[in-house]
Amino acid sequence: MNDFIRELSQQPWQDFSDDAIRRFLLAELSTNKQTAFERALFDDSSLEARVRLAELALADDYALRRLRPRERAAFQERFLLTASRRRQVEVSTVLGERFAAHSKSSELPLQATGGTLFTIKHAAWKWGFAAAVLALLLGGVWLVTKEPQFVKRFVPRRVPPRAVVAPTPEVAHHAVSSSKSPTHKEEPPSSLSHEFATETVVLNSKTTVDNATLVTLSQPHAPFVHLQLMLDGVDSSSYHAELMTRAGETVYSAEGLVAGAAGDRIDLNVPIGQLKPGEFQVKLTRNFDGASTTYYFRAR
Amino acid sequence: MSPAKQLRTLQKTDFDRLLAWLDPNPERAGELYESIRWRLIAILAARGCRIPEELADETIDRVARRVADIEANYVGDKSSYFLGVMNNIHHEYLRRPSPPRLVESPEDSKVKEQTYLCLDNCLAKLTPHARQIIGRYYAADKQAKINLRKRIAEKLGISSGSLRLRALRIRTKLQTCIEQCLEMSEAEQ
Repeated sequence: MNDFIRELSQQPWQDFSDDAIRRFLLAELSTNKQTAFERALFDDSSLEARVRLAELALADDYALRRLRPRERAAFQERFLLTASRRRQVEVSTVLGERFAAHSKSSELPLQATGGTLFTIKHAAWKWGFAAAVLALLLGGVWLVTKEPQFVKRFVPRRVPPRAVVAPTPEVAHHAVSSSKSPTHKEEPPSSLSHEFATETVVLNSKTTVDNATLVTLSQPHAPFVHLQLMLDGVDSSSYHAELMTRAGETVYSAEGLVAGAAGDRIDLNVPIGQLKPGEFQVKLTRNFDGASTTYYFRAR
Repeated sequence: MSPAKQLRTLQKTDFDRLLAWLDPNPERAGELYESIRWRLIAILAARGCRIPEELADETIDRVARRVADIEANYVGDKSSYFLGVMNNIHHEYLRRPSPPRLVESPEDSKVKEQTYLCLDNCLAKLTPHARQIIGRYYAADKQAKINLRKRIAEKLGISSGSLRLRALRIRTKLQTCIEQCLEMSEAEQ
């Protein structure tokens, strides 16, 4: 099948290929391989994850008529034996039908070249366009060289980013020296957290919801927010990360993440368009054993 | 207490004991139970068994009834114990006369309509990004689909394999959501 399932595979059972998984699901493995596969399925949870995804992929392939006749017959005879699998095929079918109708319209935004909306075929258009670009270019050069003061009015000065460190809410609200009873006080969010004006944000697993790092989104020139997820130690394992809202709704995910050269952090680039002001959590899960760590931050 | 009621009570006790044996944490035990049941069904189906869910449940019932006897001295991976019991049950099944092949009922248009409604509800719960991925993933057909996926993957800066994995993860969530929605609509009727 495809290499996507291989991404999930971990050391112990990676000798079971995607093709072997598919043949297992279609009841086509030899007796010896079948026995070994069954054993592995009970010993290795990552194989279970691969088989579950392969099951869905197979249901898709059947519903969208991508199976060869022999596979199709095997599917009907030996795969569609459970209610759960029949429901998977139903969902695959409605998904295919629902989105097939939109296929043309959904392709349009992706057409970077060769589209019908803007084709430069005529010589007049070509020359006109070239002349306009040249005029703009020359005008720009003239403006920058001859009128630097004029240009400075429009180019904002860049101020180096500065991190603001504030005490944790516990310390800020309940000072040791205070003689008053430790009643909770609401304060503006800026006093609760660290603020980063740069696109790189270091997140620590010890951070809680209450002292979550604050990320500023007002960086129109930056396509990504670069999160550095600090690991508890040096670890060369493969991870996947899920960025979720406070309510647990996934807004972004990334697969096949491994620690950089230092081995103690995972770099995650989140498209800035996926973030809105609010509270977020990043769930980082190690692929081979499913161990996960949650990192919290707030965006504004 | 009637014998039937006594049996039900006994089964519940056995089942609770089974869960506790699997893991002292009830939530974790529930997950393990679901995982073991899924694996049993997958294996039985792969062996060509016509009633995999029924035999998987029979396996779990039989293990549950034995837990009281084995829990004190059992050593090793508990989930493997299920595999052994399932082998016995599968052998017994093979000795039974073949059950008649079930004829698939024609597709119920009401069910399909409801599935569409549930699909729309569940799609609405996805993030715009996830909805975009799933929509484009299922949009085109065959070669057009392959080309389209390549372009989507390039646009997102990920490999085609990662795109497929991501789409299938979203698809898994959709499946769960739609099944819950269908169950709720059935209960309402």
